[in-house]
Amino acid sequence: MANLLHLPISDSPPTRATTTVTAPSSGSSSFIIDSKNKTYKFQYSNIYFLRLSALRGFVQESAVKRWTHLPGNPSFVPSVLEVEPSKLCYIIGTVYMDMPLKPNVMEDIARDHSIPAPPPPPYYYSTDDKVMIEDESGRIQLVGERLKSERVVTGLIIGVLGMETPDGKFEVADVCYAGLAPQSSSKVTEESEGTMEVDSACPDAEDLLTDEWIGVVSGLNIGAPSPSDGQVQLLVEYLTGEEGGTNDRISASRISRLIIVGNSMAPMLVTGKGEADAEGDRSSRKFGYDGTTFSSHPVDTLSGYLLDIGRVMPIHILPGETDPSGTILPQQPFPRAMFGTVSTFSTFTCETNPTYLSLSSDSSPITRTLFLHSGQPVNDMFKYLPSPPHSRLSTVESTLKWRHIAPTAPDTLWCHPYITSDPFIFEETPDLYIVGGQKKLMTKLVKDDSKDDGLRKRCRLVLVPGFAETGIFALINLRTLRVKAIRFRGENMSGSMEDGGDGGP
Amino acid sequence: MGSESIEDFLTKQILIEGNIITYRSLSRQLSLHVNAAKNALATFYMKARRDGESKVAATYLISGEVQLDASGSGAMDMDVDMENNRENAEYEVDDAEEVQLVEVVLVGEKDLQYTTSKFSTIYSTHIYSLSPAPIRDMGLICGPNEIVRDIDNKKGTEMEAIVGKIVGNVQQGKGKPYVPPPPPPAVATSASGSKSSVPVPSENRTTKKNTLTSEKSKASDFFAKAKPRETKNIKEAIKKETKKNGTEEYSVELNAKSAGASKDSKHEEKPSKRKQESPSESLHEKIDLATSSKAKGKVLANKTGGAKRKLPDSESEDEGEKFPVTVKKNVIVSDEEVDQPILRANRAKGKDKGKQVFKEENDDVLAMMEVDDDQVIRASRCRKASPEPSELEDVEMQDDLDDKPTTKTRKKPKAKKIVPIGKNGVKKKRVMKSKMTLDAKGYMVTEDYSSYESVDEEEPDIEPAKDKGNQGKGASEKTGNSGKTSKTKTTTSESKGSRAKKEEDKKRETDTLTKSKSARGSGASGPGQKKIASFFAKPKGNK
Repeated sequence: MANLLHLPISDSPPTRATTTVTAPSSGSSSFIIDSKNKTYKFQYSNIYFLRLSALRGFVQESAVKRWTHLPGNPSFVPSVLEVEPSKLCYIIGTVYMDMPLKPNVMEDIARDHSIPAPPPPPYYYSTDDKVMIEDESGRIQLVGERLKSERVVTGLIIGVLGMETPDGKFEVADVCYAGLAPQSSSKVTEESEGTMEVDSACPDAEDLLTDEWIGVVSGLNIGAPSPSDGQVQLLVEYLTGEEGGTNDRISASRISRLIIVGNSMAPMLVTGKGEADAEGDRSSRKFGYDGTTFSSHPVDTLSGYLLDIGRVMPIHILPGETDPSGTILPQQPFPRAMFGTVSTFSTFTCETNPTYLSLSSDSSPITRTLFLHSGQPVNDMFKYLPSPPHSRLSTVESTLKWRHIAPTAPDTLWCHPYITSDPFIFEETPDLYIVGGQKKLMTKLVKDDSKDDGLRKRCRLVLVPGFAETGIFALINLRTLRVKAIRFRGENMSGSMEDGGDGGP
Repeated sequence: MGSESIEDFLTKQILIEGNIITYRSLSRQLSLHVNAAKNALATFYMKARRDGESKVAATYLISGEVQLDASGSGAMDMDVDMENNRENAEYEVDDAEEVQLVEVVLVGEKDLQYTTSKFSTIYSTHIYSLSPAPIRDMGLICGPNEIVRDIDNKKGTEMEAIVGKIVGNVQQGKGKPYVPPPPPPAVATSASGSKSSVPVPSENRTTKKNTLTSEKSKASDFFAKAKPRETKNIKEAIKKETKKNGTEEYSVELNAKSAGASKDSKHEEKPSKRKQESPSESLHEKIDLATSSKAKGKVLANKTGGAKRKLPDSESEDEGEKFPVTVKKNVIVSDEEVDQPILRANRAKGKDKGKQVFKEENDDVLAMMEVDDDQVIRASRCRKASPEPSELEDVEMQDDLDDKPTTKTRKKPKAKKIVPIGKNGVKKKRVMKSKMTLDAKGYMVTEDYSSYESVDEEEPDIEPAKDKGNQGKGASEKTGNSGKTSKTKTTTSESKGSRAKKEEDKKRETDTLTKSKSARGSGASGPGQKKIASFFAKPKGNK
């Protein structure tokens, strides 16, 4: 019997910290696809063209900075096909990875359909991969040792320094990217320089009691065969401020809002049965689905939890890979009505995936731009990259330097055929970059101290793991951008993430 | 809330009913602060232990900080698969910052000591729940959640303050009352289980749930009480009502309502008193009114009934007069309700009929199969739905589609036709003309086309004046007109042709094609063949 302290019932309960959603800055594009753009008739090549024309300037800028002082005085060749042999120069273009393991639509068509297709390979990379760079004029293959250590995936806009080899390839000496996009809140950062300095110096910078935090969770995975309802229940109680002692209640009260980055529901099991009698007795099915294979239970359960939380704090929910939502990015917001009562709360928001979010603190003059997505771009990029040497966190960091959220779209990551702009380009660096659907909680503060443009940029990266598997719930301090994790689990209980045993060292 | 009653409650719930009681469900059911509930559970458990009660098992919740190496990477290494190495590499901790980790662990008494030792700092330990047996499955703690939600849904904001929820920055868009969605099957079972254990709140809930329908059930309930004193007429009405509202739902409602009403002695008494007060004269009134209002119109009665029905419950004096009226209205209302199933049944019958007709049709078709395959198929389509075949046939016929539904009703629409007015302000009329040309191969091609021509004022004036009933006349007049000039002749013949074309489709099926041709031939000059050709060419002319 543990010594149970008598818990005090304070007359002045802690009050919840509040943050306000502000209008998004001009640099953050919207991912809503309105009805007039909801067309698939356009070719995907437009996106590559838009991307190249949008980023070429930035890449060239950084290339000039990086390479003009080099001996040999490399010159810029505007078109990749005009490269002169054995003359040091640099070119800018879109990377294309020719990978034998990458799914190929031609192979798909040629395949014998009487034989079930082989399962898609978990990774595309192999030793036979060829890296090419292309622009409007054509493409040229890149070779060289330098390339192997570099992180490149299809769709990047890069600049490469080198010279053409006798066999018509391009020997790479150096690579450069667009670099971090400007940050809109840079000025604010200057003001709070002091705190930022402390923050960067030691991550244990004092969090003030007045600081607002935001909670981020991913992968609730409701409706999975092995449910994690107990864990979710603990999370809900924590958020409502009912769980634990005084300490817990105070820290819970500082959470101003909850952001759910995808995978709230487990993927539906495809039994094949539903499709078999799809043509059959349609009248016997009440809402157009087969009651024997389909259950609305997961949505009801999720709605219940959302309502419990939604009563105490605002919620933002993003669809994810496993959610009942479209596959192509950007995933459009869930229809509110599917969540029942919680949808009547104006503070419950269904977001697109990915999405930008601007939050301002109510206690201090801070506004933070958040960029959130549910992990698909990162998961897809990792099919291209051998690991080690590449890690998830560094790849996410790279996307900032590439100024592109999802370079592998539309090649292997499905996305909407945009015709006028590529919204996946980072026009500004967010303060917080949160990626859901990962395996581990990881975080890093990316800084760009090269005060070339007189502004320092920094961005907090947070990879949020699936809650059902890890029980981890991430908390981020909006002022200091510090990250804290809370893990909910049951000791020696089934239905917890540590089914197999305890997670001791 | 005294500690005595809390203890009683816990004893009953855990030891007798065998429920899991969490601090949350206790706080909701007894309107305690969550911390008070946690303390109460601890007190109860301590006492139970002292008394040697072995049937109570406690589950604790420990929160506190954990050393990083004991958590982060260690817990993740359990996936034993080929990708493990890669995965570790993907989540290399090299450049990542360390994160402070707070753990919230649910633990049974058995593992309490062990778990406690793993924390570096413990924020708090409290009893999460008490149960008759140790909890082995975390999912079980969600069970009492149903009760918590029910009470939260019902009492909402007031409860938040009592139990100590930390609420902020939340806006409920509309002031909609919470209507609990029909629980999914699996949840329903657990909910019912908890209901039985906690009778008071759950019953309240059911009554609340039925607020929408309670109005109705109240009224019917009302009757049930009035029954013995009513005359046969009313009794019959009630019988009808109860019989016809034989759906399960309704009866369940009735039961629930009657149970609730029996509790409410006030409600019960009122109607009976009223009954005694209101003498038999009111009954006559009732019947009279019933018949009259029936004649008036049910909809009206229904509408007003909703508002007036409430009165008998709240008012006491005027009820003697108002009451019978409401009863009468209720009778009508129930009648109306009764009507619906009948209507539905009728509709269903109608459907069946339709099916039968269809079957007969099919038989016909089968019989005709022996004659000619193509024709039969077409025919059946034609009969079923007229727009379909045209859609299926040719795109060029699209133009006719607009006319078809109207021509279906024969000639009527001709009179209704909108008369366009030309630039010169003279009304225009669509006129069919035919053109003969030689095509490349030297064949003579007759092309019919329509165009608008200005016409005299009188002619169109006559047409709108024609009544629907005078269609025949109009038609005859037209044919008369057609005799005047060759131009108009072609017009009518052509328009007839288009109309006849539909008939023709029909007639083909019955093999009276030639007949119809001859019939048409009587009206027009050209032979049938020409007409068919001209018909197909017509849309071209339109363009």
